[in-house]
Amino acid sequence: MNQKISFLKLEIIVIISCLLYSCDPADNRLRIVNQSNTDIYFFYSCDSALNDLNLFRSGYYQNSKGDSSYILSDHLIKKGSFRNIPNRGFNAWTNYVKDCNEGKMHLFFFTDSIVRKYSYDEIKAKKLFERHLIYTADKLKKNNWTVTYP
Amino acid sequence: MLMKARDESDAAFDAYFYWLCDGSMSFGNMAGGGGGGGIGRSGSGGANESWVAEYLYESDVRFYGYSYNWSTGQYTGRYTGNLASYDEVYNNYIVPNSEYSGEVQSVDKNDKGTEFLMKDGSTIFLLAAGAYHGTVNFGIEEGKYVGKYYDAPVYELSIFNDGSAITTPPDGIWVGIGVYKSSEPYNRTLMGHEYGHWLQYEEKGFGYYYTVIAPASLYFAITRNSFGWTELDASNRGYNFLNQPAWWDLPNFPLHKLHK
Repeated sequence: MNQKISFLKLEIIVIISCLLYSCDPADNRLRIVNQSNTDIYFFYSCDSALNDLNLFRSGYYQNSKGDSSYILSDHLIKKGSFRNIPNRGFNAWTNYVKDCNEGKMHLFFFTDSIVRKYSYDEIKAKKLFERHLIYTADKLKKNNWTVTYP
Repeated sequence: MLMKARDESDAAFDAYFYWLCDGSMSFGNMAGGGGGGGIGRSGSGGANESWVAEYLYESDVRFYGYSYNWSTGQYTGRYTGNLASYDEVYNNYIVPNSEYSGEVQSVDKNDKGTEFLMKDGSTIFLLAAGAYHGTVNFGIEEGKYVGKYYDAPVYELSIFNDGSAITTPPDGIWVGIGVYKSSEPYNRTLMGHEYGHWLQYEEKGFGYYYTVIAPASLYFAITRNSFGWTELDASNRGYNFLNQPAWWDLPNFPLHKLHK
């Protein structure tokens, strides 16, 4: 019980600290549910150009010194599962979508096999996405910030 | 058997354990979700290492979790239906979207699903197909010390599970459950960014950090300015300290143009 009380105190301190100094708030309301029979990657942007496409494929990534470390893609949603997507800032998803051109966010889905097989440039040039959805903040809110694939 | 992250060739596997929500105590909207995976094989005691590994990965495992009664202060195992001690809940706690590494001691299966007793003393419950109802372990709201990120102590607390974080030097860095050891770009970048705040403190000192940097950081957070100088400076410090890793999540943690 003492342990729980000390944890509670600790928690209160942290919450107050957050209220005072919310260094890095985030919003992970947006949930993508993969109800398909295949693993999928998602990518979101404010336009349909896919200019900044980066899905962070799982694998080894180097730093400038040549040291490598293993990265697990956070753009991958396994079949039958879901993922809440973090975005930095208070109320970040609402603001992100509203700040896009015409207040619309573009959401792309790629199958795992495509992502494994093709480079980002090829995916971009050949538009190898499986689905392209466009959402306003109101529509997302209406859907409880949940996007279901397919 | 050692469970470890799956590589690109599927030689190994990753096991995601979803920490599911009891709607009675809502942390935002976490109701619903995907369906449960199938249980393709049965087993009881003496798990074969390879099939357990395959099973965990292929079945899209779910962690059943516990519910917490705030009026009585008691935990109930959602799998067993029995009261559970705080220590049991604590030991069996597994975070959402995390990887779990451990060695299987034994396996037991009944009509609800499969129970894995791990060698570290924890127990993992996997639901039978389609029986996808879960709970969040709200009763274990502790700030857990999880180790040092270079010289900064790191604590994990579920109120930061939305991807937020705070650095309160000289105490440490506070992040969501599972962030500290995460292999995902957002979480790793978040750690690097927070460590950048820590480096600001180390260079500028306590007074400057709490009278200038922290209030400015709050201001930039409120005004939604991810290019605020405190944030860019923290990201740049972290990015350079980590030797400019290719996995840095630039959209969420932008850098100065010169990266220096």
